[in-house]
Amino acid sequence: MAVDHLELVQFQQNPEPRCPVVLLLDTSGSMMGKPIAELNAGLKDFEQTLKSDALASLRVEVAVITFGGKVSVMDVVNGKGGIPFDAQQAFVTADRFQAPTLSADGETPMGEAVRQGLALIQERKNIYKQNSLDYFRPWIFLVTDGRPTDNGWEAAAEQAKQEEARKGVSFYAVGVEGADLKTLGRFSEDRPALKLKGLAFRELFMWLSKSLSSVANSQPGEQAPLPPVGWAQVDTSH
Amino acid sequence: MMGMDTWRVVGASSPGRTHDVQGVPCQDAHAYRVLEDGTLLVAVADGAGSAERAQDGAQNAVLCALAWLADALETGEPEDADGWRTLMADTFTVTREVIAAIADEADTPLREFSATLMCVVVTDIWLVVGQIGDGIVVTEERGELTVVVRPQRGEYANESAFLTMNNLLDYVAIEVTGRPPEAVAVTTDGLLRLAAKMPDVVPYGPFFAPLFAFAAGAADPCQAEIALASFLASERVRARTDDDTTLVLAVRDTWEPRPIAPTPSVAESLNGHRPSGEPETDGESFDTETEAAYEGEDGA
Repeated sequence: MAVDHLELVQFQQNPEPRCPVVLLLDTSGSMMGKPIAELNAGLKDFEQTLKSDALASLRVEVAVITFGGKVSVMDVVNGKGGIPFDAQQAFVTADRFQAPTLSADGETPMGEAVRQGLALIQERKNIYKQNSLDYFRPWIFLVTDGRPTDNGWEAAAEQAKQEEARKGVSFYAVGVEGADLKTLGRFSEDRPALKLKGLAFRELFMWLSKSLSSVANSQPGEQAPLPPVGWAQVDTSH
Repeated sequence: MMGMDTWRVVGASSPGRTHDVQGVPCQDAHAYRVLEDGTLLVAVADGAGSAERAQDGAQNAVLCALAWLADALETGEPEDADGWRTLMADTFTVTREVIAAIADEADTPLREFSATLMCVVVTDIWLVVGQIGDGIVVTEERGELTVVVRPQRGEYANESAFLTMNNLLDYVAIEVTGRPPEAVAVTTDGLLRLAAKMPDVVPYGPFFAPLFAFAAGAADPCQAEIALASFLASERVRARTDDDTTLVLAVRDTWEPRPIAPTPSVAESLNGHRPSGEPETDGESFDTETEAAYEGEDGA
């Protein structure tokens, strides 16, 4: 053959599909001291681990919402707090993610945080659609050491459940020592809330980054295998 | 029969990088045959990454579908589009039954054999395509590329429909047209992002044109398949996809290369036709995992 036609084959350029995750983090007063320090260390690990996976760092998009006294969206580009509730600014791909340093104070408006998290995801999906971007099922990852103190959290829990039932989101709830796991369980039908072993935040966030890498690297029709949950306490109550 | 065109066909499947690393075999499979009267048959399947026996599912699907079609056509071709539609629907039903029997025999749930399936028949009069899942069948006619059936997927990037799903025929898309093409390419989702502009699935001319030229010039079929397989396994391709890849290329002897239209048209069928079970926007009935069709839990 005079011409090697296979050498001439060119490839279409397509943007990477996105895998959005919203971290809903309890920064209420009871997290003060060691818990918030460990949570911050965990967030730093999360940042490093995601960045070390080339594909995941381009596909995973992170937003951080805290609830301690009030509900805030963190600026995860500059690692600071307090930006508007806007899906355009709230999410950043993992390669540009800067873990914010959180401080603890106030009550636990968990219901409002969940509502805001769901709204951000919906908005983000709309942005993907407008820009013709493919995406994976979004994750909400909630970490708390208490129970919701705001009015109407039950409705937010119901909303989360419904969104999960129609496969709009995967909802994970993790309780730190002192958390009301039974109440947390009301946010998801699909998976029970898990209890964190001691203050194993770093293990928790390592697991999360590995899980998101796994999803971001998965192929159509493929169930992303998640790593074993080493950070959770085994429930021996039944 | 005299005077009929015949086909040059080249096919290859190659395991993806992820599968290499995990020691998983290639879960794509393909088969093709040109009948005596010049009718082209192609079947391509992609076993679901999450299914334990995906390779067996895909392999059996293509062999069974091809054998069933060849047998049926031996007794005579359908006379009209409806007849072809029925034949294609039967092919999917029978193939699913055969795989169900294999699963039964192996005492393994059917979902462990999950695979997509695309079947193509081209006669001198008809183009018939049956498809479940997210691969693409691309035809070329006078320099114009067409995706025959929109890849079936749901809302998310890693969702697909499978041959093993319940109510299979609700999901199988069947297209019958009286415009048989001069060239056909069938590929699984592993090459989708390289071969088409996503998410609208507009086939990419500079991808397909050299491939058709390659198939047309393939004097030695065996050599050509080796060359195609090394292309699929090349660093150039692997840098862009982690998945298993498959290409089956078929061109008529009479095919001549033409410049491919700069903006390829989207098949008319894409505007109107949807298989009855395919949701309009959200992918409720589809699933990332195989869990929608079977009750299951995804991970943690």
